[in-house]
Amino acid sequence: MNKNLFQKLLLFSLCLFSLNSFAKTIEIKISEGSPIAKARYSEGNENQPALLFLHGYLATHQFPLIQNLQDYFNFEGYTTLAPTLSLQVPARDNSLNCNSLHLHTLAQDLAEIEGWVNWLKEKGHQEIVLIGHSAGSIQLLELAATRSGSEIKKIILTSLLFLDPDEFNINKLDIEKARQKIIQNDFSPDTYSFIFCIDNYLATPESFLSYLPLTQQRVLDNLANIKIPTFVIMGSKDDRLGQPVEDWIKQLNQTSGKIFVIENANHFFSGEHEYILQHRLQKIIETKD
Amino acid sequence: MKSPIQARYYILGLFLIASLLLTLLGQYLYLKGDKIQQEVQQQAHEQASNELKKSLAHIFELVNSEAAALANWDEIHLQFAQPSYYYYWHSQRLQTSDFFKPYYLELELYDKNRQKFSSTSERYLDLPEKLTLQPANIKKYIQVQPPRKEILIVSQPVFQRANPAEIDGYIAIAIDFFKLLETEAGFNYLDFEKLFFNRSGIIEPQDLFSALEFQIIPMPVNERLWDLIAKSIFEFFFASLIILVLVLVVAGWIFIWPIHKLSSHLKRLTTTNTTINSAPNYLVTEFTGLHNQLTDYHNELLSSKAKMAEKNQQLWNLLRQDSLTGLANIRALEEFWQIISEEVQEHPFDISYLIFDCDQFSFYNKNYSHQIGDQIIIETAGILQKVFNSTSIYRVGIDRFVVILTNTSLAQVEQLANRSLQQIASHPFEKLGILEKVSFSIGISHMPAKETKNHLEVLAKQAQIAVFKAKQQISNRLNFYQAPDENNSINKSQLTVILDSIYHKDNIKLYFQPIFDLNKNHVFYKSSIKIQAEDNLVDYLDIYPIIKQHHLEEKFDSVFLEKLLEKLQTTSLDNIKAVSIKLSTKTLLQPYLIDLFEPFLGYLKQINIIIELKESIITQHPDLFTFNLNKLRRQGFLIAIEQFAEESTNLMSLPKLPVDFIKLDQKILQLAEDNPINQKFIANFLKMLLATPVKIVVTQVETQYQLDQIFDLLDQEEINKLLVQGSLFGKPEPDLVIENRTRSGCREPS
Repeated sequence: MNKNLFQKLLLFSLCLFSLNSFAKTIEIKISEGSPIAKARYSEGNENQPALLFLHGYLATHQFPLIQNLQDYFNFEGYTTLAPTLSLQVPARDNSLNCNSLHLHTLAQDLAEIEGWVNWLKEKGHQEIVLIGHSAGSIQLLELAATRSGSEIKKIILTSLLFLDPDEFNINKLDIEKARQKIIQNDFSPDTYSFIFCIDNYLATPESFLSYLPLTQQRVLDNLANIKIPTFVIMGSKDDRLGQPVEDWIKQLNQTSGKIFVIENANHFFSGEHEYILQHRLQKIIETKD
Repeated sequence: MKSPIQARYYILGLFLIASLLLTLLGQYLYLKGDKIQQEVQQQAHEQASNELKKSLAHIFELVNSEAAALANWDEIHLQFAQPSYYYYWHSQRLQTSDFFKPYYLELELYDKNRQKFSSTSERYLDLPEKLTLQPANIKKYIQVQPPRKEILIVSQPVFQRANPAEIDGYIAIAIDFFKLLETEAGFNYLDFEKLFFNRSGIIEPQDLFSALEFQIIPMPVNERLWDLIAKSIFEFFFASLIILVLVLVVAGWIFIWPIHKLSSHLKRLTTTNTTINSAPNYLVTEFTGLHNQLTDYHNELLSSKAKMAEKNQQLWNLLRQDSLTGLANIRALEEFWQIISEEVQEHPFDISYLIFDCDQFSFYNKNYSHQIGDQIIIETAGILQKVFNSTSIYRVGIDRFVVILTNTSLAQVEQLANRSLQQIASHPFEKLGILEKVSFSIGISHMPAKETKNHLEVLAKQAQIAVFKAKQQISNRLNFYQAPDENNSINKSQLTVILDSIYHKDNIKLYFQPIFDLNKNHVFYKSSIKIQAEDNLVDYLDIYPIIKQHHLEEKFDSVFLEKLLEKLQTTSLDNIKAVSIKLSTKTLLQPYLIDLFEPFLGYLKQINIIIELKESIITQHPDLFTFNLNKLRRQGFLIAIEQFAEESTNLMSLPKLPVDFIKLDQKILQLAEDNPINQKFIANFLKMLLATPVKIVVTQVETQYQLDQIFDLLDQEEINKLLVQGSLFGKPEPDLVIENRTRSGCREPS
């Protein structure tokens, strides 16, 4: 880590509070019938791309890693937007718990992300870089892979993962139970195991099943098919995956995306790895294609 | 001064006072401790009250914040946004969230119309189906349903996030009030288990405190402390009581017991007449010393008492013993007589009262010296002791003895009296150089047992009368008082009459006995007094001993003079030559003697008033009589000596005496009958007297024979100088009877 980096980090830390005063909360209604969505928005230099940071599963834009990244890049002069997926909760402020009632679906999430991208676009940002973390990375990848439009210039996926039933605490019996309920037109919530929620994920079957297509293969396929420059940053010590991170990195390396591995970093890039991540992100963002 | 109180009562009083003070102190301490405990309890109650107020404020603040948090909870907003799954959320999620507190009984959402979301709870139905209240903000109230269902109902509006001015709906929470308190409020003073509502129904927050009843937490330390204090107070009280008792016991043992012992010792000393040598055993030295001092004092006192008793006995003896003869004296007689008087009341017995009176004792004293007189008395006493076996013999006067004989018959008394007279008559008094024959007169009164109970007091008087009469007798020196003639006997009632008569000058009768001048036929009168006592006319001879015994001589003489004066005033004094009056020695010795006769001065021109007196009085008090009698004689009164030559006649002093008459008892002349020498002596003695200017009167001439004896001794010329008195010439009469009697009226001497 060079001296210049540390000087910047120090200066960034000192200016964090002042930066907060520049950030503001944006609430929008993506569509009629959808709940209000909230985001933290900070306007930066117009000649720099707008950065959209998407939090991980059930989290909010206040998730520390996301907030720190946003603040850092605000300091760097970037326009940043960190939305909180409403997950059907109007103006959701807090992370949802596993046992919270989950009514949201992947489609609703993607629509909401699309809404925020469009909001940035409406704000005049023609270059948008999408930066996701964890499940947010999957959702951004899914959106970018299927979305048309040119304003998204780069996609940076940190701690990218996938939702394979065999790999990620997803019980096939739960999937079958949910599917049977739908067949039976029973939309009542039930408890499932999902990602890091073990047997306490209270969700409607529709909600539960909506995220299951985001399998490893689907992720790899999206990475393979995506037209937008895509960067993947993984921590070498990420243990939140359904398989060893090395295996996943190997598979990622076989895609068209550029894969970066931060040594010894965990799923959340805790500690000094967060700065390394910031530096890596900045390099990626500032790198011209 | 009040009677002193025994020491043990002081100790008892001290104990009671100390116990009372101790009890009061204990009670004060107990009440003080109790008050402190009550203050602590009150303070604890106030603390509990404050605690409850703070707790209530705290839980209200807490539920406010919780309600606010709930109203801002994403999932609540999700439910308002998508209420379709409310049941599942409510049943599966809500109570597992951190927002649903353990003390929540129920939490329900209400739509903007305050209608409860579909009923979800089967267990709790505390929240209403519809909120009837329209709170502007948070609304709270307590719903109390007995027996123990106290629910805090809190409702909170939930505002839309898109439009905060719009209410999405409401949250209502049913909270277990006491569980909330138990969970969120800590009580240090309030006893949570005893916190309860004093009313039921809906209770507004502002009324909540007053609706709660509470008690303070039992303070074991405080109560234990108070128990210990109370126990300590009681222990202190009882310990003090025990100490007090011990102190009193010890004090009693050290001080009171010794005092009691000393008191007993002193009591023993006062009741013991023997010397005590007790070894004291006291804890305190001073008591030992005191004990010893008391013992020593007692022993010394006993010694002194013994000495004093001895002295007293000596004094008693001296007081009751005649120093000259060794016989008992008149004091002893009085005491003995008192004893006799008491004894006869219980056991009457015969009593004889004998009075021995020496005849002409003054003669022996004067002519042979007092030592000889004393010797006569001593030897006579010895004779009486032998005769009467040394019992009940008293010397009651210079020359007078009294002998009391009990249970002795009159014959025996007479026998003893005669024997004593014989013993005296045969006693060789001549060894003392006495030429005359020493004789005693005996007056005896005897009272049989049956009379002693009521009349014993007259026995001595009767004996005096008897001896008085005995001395009047010529030959028999022994005279028994007898009362065969009831007219002359003096009983007790008569005695009273006599004494009353003297005091009140009643019943006194003057009697006059004539004295004849054989030559000129002049009649003199000797006045005397008799007293009418009941039916008896008591003679002067019987009256005089009574007067003397009662020391009424002066009174009697003044009455005598007064009566005589009255007589002179009421009687014609023509042909009455003179009237004589005999006064007692005591009156004659009074300095006012001259004044007594002053009323008579006016009669001296008509009649001669002769004052009779004994020769012995003049010889014993020559100066006084010389003065008084000379003065009386200068005034015109005449002086006569009666019973001349019967006692201690001093012929040498006769010429010096202021005397006009000498009265000789006829019994002296009887001495001439004994032998020719006596006859010659008596004749010459009479002649000698007749040769002087003094008039000679022979008294007691009762018979012609006696008158003849006089005539036989004298020649005619001498007889003409003589005056005679006796019943032969006239008995005492109540009036001055003028009778012209001549010698021819009498029988001529044979």
